[in-house]
Amino acid sequence: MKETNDHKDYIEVTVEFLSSLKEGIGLKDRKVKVQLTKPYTLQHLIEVLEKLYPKLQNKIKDSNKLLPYLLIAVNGYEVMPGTLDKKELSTGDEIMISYLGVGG
Amino acid sequence: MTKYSGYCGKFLRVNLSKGIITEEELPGKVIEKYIGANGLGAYYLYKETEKGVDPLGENNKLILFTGPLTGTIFPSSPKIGIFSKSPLTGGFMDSYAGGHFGAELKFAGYDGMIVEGKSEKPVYIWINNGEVELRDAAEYWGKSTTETREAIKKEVNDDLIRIAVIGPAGEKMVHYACIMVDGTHAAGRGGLGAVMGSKKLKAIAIRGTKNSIKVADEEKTNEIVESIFEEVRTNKVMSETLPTFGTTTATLANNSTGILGTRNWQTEVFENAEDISHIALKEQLFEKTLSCFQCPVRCVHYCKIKEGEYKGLETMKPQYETVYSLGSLCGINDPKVIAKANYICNEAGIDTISAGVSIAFVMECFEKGILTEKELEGIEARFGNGKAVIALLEKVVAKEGIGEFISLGTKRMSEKLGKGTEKFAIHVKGLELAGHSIRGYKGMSLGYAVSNRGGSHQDMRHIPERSGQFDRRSIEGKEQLVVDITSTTVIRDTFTYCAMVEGVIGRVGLTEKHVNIINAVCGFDFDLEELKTIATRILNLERCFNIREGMDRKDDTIPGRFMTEPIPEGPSKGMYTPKEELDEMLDKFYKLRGWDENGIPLQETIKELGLDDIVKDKDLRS
Repeated sequence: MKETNDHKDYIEVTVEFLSSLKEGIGLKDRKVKVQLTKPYTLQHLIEVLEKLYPKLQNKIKDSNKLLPYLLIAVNGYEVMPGTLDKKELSTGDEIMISYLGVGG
Repeated sequence: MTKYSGYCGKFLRVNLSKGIITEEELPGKVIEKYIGANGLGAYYLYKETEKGVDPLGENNKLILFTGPLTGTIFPSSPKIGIFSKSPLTGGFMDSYAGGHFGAELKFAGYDGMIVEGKSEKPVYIWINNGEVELRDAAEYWGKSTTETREAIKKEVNDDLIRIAVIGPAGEKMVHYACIMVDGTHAAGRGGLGAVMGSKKLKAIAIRGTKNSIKVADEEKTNEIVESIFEEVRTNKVMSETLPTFGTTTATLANNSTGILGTRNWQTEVFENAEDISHIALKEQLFEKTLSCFQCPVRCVHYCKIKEGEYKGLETMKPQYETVYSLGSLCGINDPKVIAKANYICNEAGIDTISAGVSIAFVMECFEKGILTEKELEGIEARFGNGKAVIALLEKVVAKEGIGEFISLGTKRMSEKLGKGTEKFAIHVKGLELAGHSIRGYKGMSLGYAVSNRGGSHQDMRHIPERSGQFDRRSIEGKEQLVVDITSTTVIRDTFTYCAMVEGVIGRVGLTEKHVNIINAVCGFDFDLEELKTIATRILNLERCFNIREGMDRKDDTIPGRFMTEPIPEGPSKGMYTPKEELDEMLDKFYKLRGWDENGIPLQETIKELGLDDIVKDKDLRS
């Protein structure tokens, strides 16, 4: 059973930075655990990550907008652009952030 | 001479049977209809070969063309396109290589060349600034690609020449032999190295310093070039990821979304993907970054194995497709084994994708008891056995015993074996599948199925579905998506800019950007509709070539595994493309393309596209 988010002060998710996203933002490991208070949305997670790693903003945004070639997946499912504020997260979720490579 | 800029206005015709070399004008009318590499290759191959020509016979032709951007100041457009009837698919094949060869050819004064006939003894073509000769290559026959390249440089006493060369695999006509270019790139797909070998042509060497390639509108071209440089500089993929890792970051991204081909696509999650990640490859292999002609991206890497059994081995880096085919697809989790296998392929001159997919097929046959250890000459071809991959590759290169069987490619191996193996023979039209999931992208299911090359990821592209811009789990609208993307890729291959800068020029459908580029460089006066018609014309001409060779709807299909076995685990679990879905997409796609229900271009389509001067109705409907 997946945990629900009711009656919680925070949830804990794992964020994995792929491509060259990890480089130069002060991260030792590619995967980090992040505690997220309400709202438990992907949009809020991105804001929290930007605060935790200030140099990340330059890597994922241009003119304060997410780069169009950014790939964000939650538990392996790509999240459609423009729906980050609607994507609710739960404890244990695995978020992957990557640039869209060309893959050959 | 043509009135258009971006061209030399002439090409070479090399008749190997007669030993005659001539120059021919590239007619303005042909340029206007077909523009460059992909277009010119399709035009001359269709026009100059007969139906049913033997791919490895004297009458097949090997055609090389650059595009109008090649050799100009336009960035990231170094490609040489090579065209022929493929021994692997029996259909139209185009394959493109980066590096410096294409630009050098234009600097020597030629837009391309048509090689015809067959030499009695091994030869190479030496192009020295407009002076062209056939030279004896007997002493290079049997040598590796690097040995040959170095020896020819020594022979002509010039370290800076550019060389396209085949290795022993091409000489022995392994069906997926490739042509290595400059030692850094390959025209890898479809067995064009075998065609070259069948003609006893070991290499084409070029020195070009006398010709410079002008553009029509310098101011406009400079403006476009500056904007592209700026986009490359600010785009994180092109300025950070590709120079650091090449395309290998796709391995983990694909694995984490459950679409990484693993153990012959029995699954699409590789439990050891971390071991062959972009980071592992960088740490264990990468030495330095290289660049193609006039390219700011620099996605190519030279590598050196730093420890273990293959310590000290120097080779070009494996890109993502090789990490997929010789890595996860064979269950291999050691970057050093992948690098060693890549080295064997590069030196012998074989396509890493087809080689890896063919070996993965053999491994599944072995594990299912269809091929025995005795039949495999003592090789225990289990998934994950690195030594088996290396041993099988070496047998393919030698084309001896079981190696001769594997050198036929997946489709023919399966036809010979029977026993239901066609279901997991991973090819389309005979061309082994690249590393982008059919089951995981509905658009790729259709795109692969209708690709004129077959299992190539360079016609239909996966990125628009990858980004979430188009839902990869739905078939809705995918017929239009395939039309739009393939119009763009055929123009990419006609202008000859690289797939690495597709992102800044545009991936889904042609736009004014494409029109502005070609008009500024060449001095055309095309509008968007005209450019779309040219793209459609080229795609249809390739299609007509395949129809003439007996292909039709029956060949627009995907491996049985992907139509009947859902992805068994991971985030994309349950995804597959049943035949009914593929048929529905095909019906809609054919209608959009102006083809009949059997996938054959209608006569009015041929006429509208101005192809009726070379495509005859009888060729399509016999």
